This record gives sequence, structure tokens and C-alpha cells, in this order.
Amino acid sequence: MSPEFVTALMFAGLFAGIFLGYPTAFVLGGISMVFGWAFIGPAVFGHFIVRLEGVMKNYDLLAVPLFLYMGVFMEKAGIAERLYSALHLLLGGLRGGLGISTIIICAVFAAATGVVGASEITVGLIALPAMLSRQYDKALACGAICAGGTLGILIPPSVMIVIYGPLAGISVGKLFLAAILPGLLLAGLYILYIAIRCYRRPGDGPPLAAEDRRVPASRKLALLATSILPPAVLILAVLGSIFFGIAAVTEAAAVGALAGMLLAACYGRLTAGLVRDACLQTLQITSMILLIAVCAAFFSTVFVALGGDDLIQKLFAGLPFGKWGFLLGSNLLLILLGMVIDWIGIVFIMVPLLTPAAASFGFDPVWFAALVMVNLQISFLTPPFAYSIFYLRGIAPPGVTTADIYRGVVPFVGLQVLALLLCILFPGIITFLPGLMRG
Amino acid sequence: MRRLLRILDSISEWSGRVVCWLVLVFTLTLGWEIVMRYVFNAPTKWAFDMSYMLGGAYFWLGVAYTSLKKGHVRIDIFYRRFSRRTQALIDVGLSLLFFFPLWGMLLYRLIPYVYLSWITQERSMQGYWMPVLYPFKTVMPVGAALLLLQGISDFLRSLLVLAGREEERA
Repeated sequence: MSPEFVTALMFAGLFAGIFLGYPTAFVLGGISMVFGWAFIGPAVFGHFIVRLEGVMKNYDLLAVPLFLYMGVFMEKAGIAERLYSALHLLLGGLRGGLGISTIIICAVFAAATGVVGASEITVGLIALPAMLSRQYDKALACGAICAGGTLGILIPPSVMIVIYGPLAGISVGKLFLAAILPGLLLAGLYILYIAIRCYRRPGDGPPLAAEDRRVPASRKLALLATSILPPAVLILAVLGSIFFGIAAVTEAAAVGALAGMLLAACYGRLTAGLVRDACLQTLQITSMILLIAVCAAFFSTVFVALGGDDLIQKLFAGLPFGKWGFLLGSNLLLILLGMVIDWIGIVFIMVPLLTPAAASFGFDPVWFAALVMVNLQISFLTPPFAYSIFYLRGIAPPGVTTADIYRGVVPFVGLQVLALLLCILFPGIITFLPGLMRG
Repeated sequence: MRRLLRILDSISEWSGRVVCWLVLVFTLTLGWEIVMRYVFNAPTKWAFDMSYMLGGAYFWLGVAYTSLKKGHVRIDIFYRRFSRRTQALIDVGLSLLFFFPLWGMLLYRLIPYVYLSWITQERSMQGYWMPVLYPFKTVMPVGAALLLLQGISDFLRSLLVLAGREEERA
């Protein structure tokens, strides 16, 4: 059989298994086993053992459980409630003020946790009832929470970046810096959109009544200081130590996890039960992600041995319009995949294929990686497979329908595409901060 | 049958409850190393090896627990619309094709691999501490065995659904 045919068959089998609904990790591993055994022979299991051991020994991937662990403590420390009541008092008087507060809290939380689920559910449980009781437009409220929550996977520290770095052979620290400005750009666009929309149509996001906000200014400031300062200091310490080369990403993650525990202790929430729940919750997510990492490593072993990677690179090189054709094609492909598969599957399957192709077209690897990650933001909001919508549907009160959520995310998807275009037109948004890093 | 399923599930449950504490252990290990290095200027020689070994054991021994908790992500855009029987049919078919041959063969191949590490007292060549590797390598077959046991439990449950004797999960 020709390599073309085998490669096509491998991908066909992979997508067939995934869409039948068998767990992604087991499909990836199973396809690798079937094709490896058939075309390489039983020796393929020796390669699999080496790859399994490689993932288990990977020091950089240790940052995955550590950042998840940090996130659970931040989530349970009760920062979100405090922050929301502070911003509520400060910005509540503006049209759309609660919506803007929601985005700000999501951005802060995105920096305090590394995934979407934790931050979106925590913020959603507080912000959605608050906005609905103030007669906010349901779709706008849902869209803001979904889009804001999605920032969790982009704004560093983020688990997506920790996985992406080793896969693409790029320093995780550099990628952290590269993702900061695009993350802030997205948050800024969301805020601008909510402000303009509510200014023109006050019914969508009415300001709070004055008596709701009659609290002395000193108390407002105190509330803001106790809610925003501790997590801000923590995040800056984690990112700063990476930026100045003081600590490796894994060590910075450990510091973050310990500081998260300390923070929970300061707010009086640190109990043995919380520590145990945090350990269990972290275990489940870590094992889920890293099992996919193991099986994706099996897949790439077999795929490369069968000549699939050469084939894919030739395919990319043959695209019309050269490098811009590749850029457009790969972004459209990622958006399409993002509708039907989760980000973990996309990262593990696509990054090893896209990275060498992008390099051969002469794109800056850090820029391209950050662009892919901005693109993957879209995957959280585009149905049928959209994590952010699933999470919100899980916690939305009965009055909110799935149709409200779908209507709500549409403008935010538009803003994400706009941010993607801005990052292409002005590559400095991505490359400015990593360029400043030492070494 | 019911008894067997309960035993298999409780093995996974307890493996998770025990293994989950490792994250706290390696967080503290790394924290200790950082304090020793920056405050006392006396880096440990064991923290690096220790932390990746604990981290590797943590996630690999947790794979069975995650399976028990249905934590391995499925793309369920079609799956959730299928009947229970169709779902069970997919799970039975694909576990016979994908799951059991892969992890079964891997376990079979891991045993001589790890045995070799035991009898040669293999040591790590990364860093200065050079710890023996066999305890860490032994984690590989143990994790695979746990995953297989949980796989058997899930497989039997799907068979029960197909036989029309659906059981509620304990």
C-alpha cells in the first residue's frame, strides 16, 4: 500500500473512532496500535514503552498538575465573590457595568487558573444571577461569561501553553509572554463591545440604581484591595520569576500552587477536606490530559515511521498562494476542527503537523504558536462541541435557554476572529513581550 | 457478577484516593528545593529526579481512577443521541479492537522490560543523584494493569446493557 493511502486510512480511522464517541485517548492509542502492528510489527510496542516513559519523565509537563492544583485553591479561596462585589460597586453605575466587571474578573481568574472550566463556572455562578436580576439581556450576559471564561486557556499561566511548548519545541516561558498581549487584547475587545452595545441600547445592560451602590469610598477601595491584590501579587510573582529567568516554569508552578494554598489559608478556607478534593480533582484532569499526551505520542511514532509527516508537509507545500495560502488554510482548518473536537485533541494532533510546515514557510515559531492558541479560543464557543457553552448550560438557571447562549456567543466569536486578524496584521502584539525576555 | 464489578471499581476508586496525594508531595518537594537553593544556597541533588518520578507516577496511576469517573473526554456530539444499546455496542466493539489489545500487549511487553531494570539495578543518568530506576519503572506495568482492570469492569457493564440486564452504577 502506498504511504498516501495508509496515511489517509489512519486519519479516517482516527476521526471515525472519535466521532463514534469512544474516548479520544483510547482511539488515538488504538489506531496507533492497529497500524503499528500491521506495518511495523510487534516491535512497535517497544517504541510505545519508550514514549510512555518519556511522558512520565517529562519535567516540563509536571507544570500541568501544578497549575491545575494552584487553580483549584484560587477558585476555592473565594476571590471571585470579593472581586465581584468590589467591581460591582465601582463600575455598577455604568451602562453595561456588570458585564464589564464580568470580563475583568474572568481575565484575573484566567491568570489565576490554567483552564476554562474552573474560572467560567466560578464566575458564572456569581455573575449570571447578578446580571439577570438587574434585567440584563440574557444573550449578552451568557455571551460575556462564555467568552470571558474562555480566556482561562490563553492568559498565562495556562495549561494549553504548557502542553504546546514541548510539542512544538518552544520554550514555555516565551510562549507565556507571547500570550499575554493577545489575551489582554481579547479582554479589551470584549469590554469595548459591551460598553458600546449597552451605551447605545441601555436596555441590554442597565446601570445599577444609586442606592445599590451607596457605600463609602474607603470601603470600596478596601474591598478592591483585599480582593485583587493577593491574586495579582501571586500571578506577577509566578510570571515574573519565569520572565527574569529566576525559576523554570515547573518551579514557578510549584510556587504558584503553594501560594494558592497560602491564599486559601488567609481567607480561612484551607481545610483538610479542601486539600483532598483539590488533589482528587487535579488527578482526574491531569490523567485525562496526559493520557492523551501518551497516546498522541504513540500516534506520532507510527505516523512518522509510515512516512505520514513527509506527506503532510508536501501537501502543505503544494497549497496555492504559498505561505498566505497555508496561513489561511490552517486557520480555517483549526476553526472547523474546533467546532467538532475539543482543544486537547486538536493540539496533540495538529501541532506536530503544523509546526514544521509553518517553520518551512518562514513564519516565526513563537508568533505562529500564539496565533494557533488565539484561534483555539474560537473552538470553545463554536457548537456543536463547545466547552464554554457546555459549562454555562450546566450552571444556568431554568429561565436561560440554550438558544440564549448560542445567540449570545455569536458577537464574541466575531470579536475573536477580529483579534486573530489583528494578530496577523500586527505581529508585534504577539512578538513584543517575548522579544524583551533575556536569553 | 455484581460482586466482581464492585471489587474492580473499588480497586480503581482506592488507587485514585491514594495516588492523588502525590501532587501535594511533589509540590512540597519542589518548594523545598526552591527554598534550599535561593534561601540557603544549598540545592538538593535529589529534588529533580524525585519530582518527575512522583509526577509520572501520579498521572499514570490515576488513569484508571479517571476512567472509573468517566473523566476521559469523549466527543459525544453523536454518541449522546444514540440509545443506551448503541452506546454499549460501540464501547464493546471498540474496546475489543482498540483498548484490550493495546494495553494488554503493552503490559505483556512491560513486564520483561521492568524485570531487566530490577536485575541490573538500573540507575538514572540524568543529574547527580543517580537513583535506581526500577521502582519508577515498576509504576508502568502497575498503571497499565489498573487501567485494564477498570477496562474489564466497563466492558462487562456494557455487555450487561447489551444483554438487557442493565445495572445502575454503584
